[in-house]
Amino acid sequence: MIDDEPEPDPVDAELIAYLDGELEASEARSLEDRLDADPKLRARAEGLKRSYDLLDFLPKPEPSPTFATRTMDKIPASGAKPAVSDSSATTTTPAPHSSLALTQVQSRSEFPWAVAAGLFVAVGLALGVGYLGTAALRTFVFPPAEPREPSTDSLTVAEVRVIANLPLYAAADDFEYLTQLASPEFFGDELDAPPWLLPSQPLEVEKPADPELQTLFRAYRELPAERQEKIRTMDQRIHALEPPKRDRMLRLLETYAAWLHRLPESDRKDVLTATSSNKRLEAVREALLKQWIAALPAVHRAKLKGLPAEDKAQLLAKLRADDEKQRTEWTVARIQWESIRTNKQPWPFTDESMRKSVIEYVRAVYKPDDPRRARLSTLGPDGGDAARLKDALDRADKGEWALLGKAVYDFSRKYEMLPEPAKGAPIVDYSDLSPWPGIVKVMEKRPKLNRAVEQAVGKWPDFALAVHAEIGNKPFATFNTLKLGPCQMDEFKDDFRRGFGELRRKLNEAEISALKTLEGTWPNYPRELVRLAKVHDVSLPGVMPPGPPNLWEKTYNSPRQPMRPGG
Amino acid sequence: MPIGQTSSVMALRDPDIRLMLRVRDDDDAAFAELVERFQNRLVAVMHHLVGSMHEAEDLAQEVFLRVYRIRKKYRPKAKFSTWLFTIANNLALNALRNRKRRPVLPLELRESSQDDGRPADHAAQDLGETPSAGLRHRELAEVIRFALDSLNERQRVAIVLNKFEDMNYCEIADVMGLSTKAVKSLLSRARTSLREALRGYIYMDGEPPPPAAEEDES
Repeated sequence: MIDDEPEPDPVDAELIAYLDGELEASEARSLEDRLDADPKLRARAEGLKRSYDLLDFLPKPEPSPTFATRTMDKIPASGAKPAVSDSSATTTTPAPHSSLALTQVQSRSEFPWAVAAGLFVAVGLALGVGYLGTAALRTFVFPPAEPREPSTDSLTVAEVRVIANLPLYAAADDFEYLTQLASPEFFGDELDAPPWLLPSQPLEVEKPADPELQTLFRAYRELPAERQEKIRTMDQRIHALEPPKRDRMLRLLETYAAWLHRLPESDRKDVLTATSSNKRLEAVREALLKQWIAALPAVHRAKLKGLPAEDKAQLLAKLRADDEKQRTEWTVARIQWESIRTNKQPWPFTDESMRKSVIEYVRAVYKPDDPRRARLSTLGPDGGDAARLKDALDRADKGEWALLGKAVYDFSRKYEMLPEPAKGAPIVDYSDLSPWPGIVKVMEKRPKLNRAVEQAVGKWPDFALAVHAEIGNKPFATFNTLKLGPCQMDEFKDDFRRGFGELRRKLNEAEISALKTLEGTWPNYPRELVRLAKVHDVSLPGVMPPGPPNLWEKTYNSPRQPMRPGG
Repeated sequence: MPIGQTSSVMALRDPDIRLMLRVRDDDDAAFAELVERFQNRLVAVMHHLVGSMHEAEDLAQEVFLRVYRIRKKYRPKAKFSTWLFTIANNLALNALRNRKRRPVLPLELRESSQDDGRPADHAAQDLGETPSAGLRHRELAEVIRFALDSLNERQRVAIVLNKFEDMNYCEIADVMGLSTKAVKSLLSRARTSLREALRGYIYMDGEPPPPAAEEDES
């Protein structure tokens, strides 16, 4: 009750009721007369109004994209339908959620992955001749229809998506498992293959025809409730990603499924029957390694055979590193061959002005000639990336441009670049931090932290990013407003702003408004600009290599050579 | 209006009621639509009340689930949103009271980068920025958030419904189960507290305060 609270000031109460339009007309008029006559009273009303108006500054967050589906998914668990066991046709049609809930009660399989393995056989067909192509296989994979058919009519769009994707989802534990699989160690390289190698169709699975959906739905209901929940969550998380990332995940699922399908039976069994997500990853790694070794030249294979385990591992590591290097060389050779064949330099070195701008870009971004500010690593037996660039520049000087193109492309992925400020020098040293004595103080207190930043001294944006990373979770209340670099349009250089002008025309409203919220924060704002530029195939001057990012990707990305099919 | 004859009349006037009647009749598509229709408002209100997005979504979800659980008991009698926010009010008040009882740090409930849950003006000075010059929307939002958090739970609910759901005193009274008079004094106290808390910030848009502003209080 509110009796325990003090009475409000009657004048304020009246003013507030007036401001809220809650006074009777006559009361309002009389108050207005008094307001006219009394500046003090006016100021008081003004203060009340303005302080209330300030609440409009509060952010108005929107629910996350998965909120609605998550809520719908909770319905069965909430026990809304107490007696689901009587799901016979006598009661009202069971809601889809309730019918899913049913399976929770009757989850009979102790080995969800055995079901997954069964489902899995269907995947190859799903990819090849459509879902569950043959009737024979259908009866093999799934038990014959039960007399009581669950209806797929009342499934929501989200549920249909889960069920239609089931053959792909069946072989993955959860979203985290997929994230692991998407790393270069597993299938990552293939997912980032140049665009012409990627399927051109959108990857979303179409809704299968009714009988197929029915079959999948039944299979889905066969899964234990816990597994169903995991699959649903995985589906939601995939579809909550931004479109490019979502498509990459869906591509991963297809790649992984196709790979599994081609795997020899025994290896596939190892993967599918592993008892935990980590063990499954281990099994995938093993199988990939086997394939890789199988694809090695016979000499190496013979050598590996006779070695004790430790030496074997060492040799394998070396072979893998060589493999990596060879891939780069192979790409460069391919590009060079192309340029010899067509008697033209590889893109973007086809004309003089582009050659010039790439070299200018390289000098501006990596500063190879300035020992203090040079960014490229000198570590490594061959002198590291710095030596690689030097070599590439020398070769370019002699008219061979492919090596430089490949180096520029690789570095652009390895070394993050952010726009430099239009006015003044960028922050690259401790002395540049003097406007923020608080940071300097913290860094002095933490020598360990200094070491991390130390290596980046002189380099833009590496130093500022290192400071940011180190101080980020320290007790600086206004850290978010701490700007170590330009993060507002008028702080960028003119050519960068021109590049942004081009990008802006390609942005949709959601992207523009999301971008607006980041304006003023560093490095998030410039980072987001770079990300969007990549998505929309715009090159931002001074930050990204000149020319459309897609063309760089297409020309210089080296796809992993096709793995040798396992069976 | 007597309940018996009203249902269809009301439903015609308020599409939300129509929707809820379908939910009552076990139409799950209708429930999905209801979630879709009200999720933004509910999550926003909950966020204003509890300050954490995570908790706001949990609470909003709980509201929807409760609506679903008690759908059979739904009788259309007021605006649907009044009914919905009555449920929301109960859940939010419970959550806020539980939070008070639990010995948690305010930090746990916040998503802001701040460590102590206080407005950041002195820290800004440490970093060489003055609050008057460099105060941004986000900082201002933090100050306002802090002011809102300093109200008691019921005041906060009343303010949020009034400000963000545009409810008049009578509707707020319905939602909170209070008399209109009680709502009026609740809002008065809340808004005078807000004025005190935000006094330093209300003339930050460059407009000079009216001459008598500095002595407006008796």
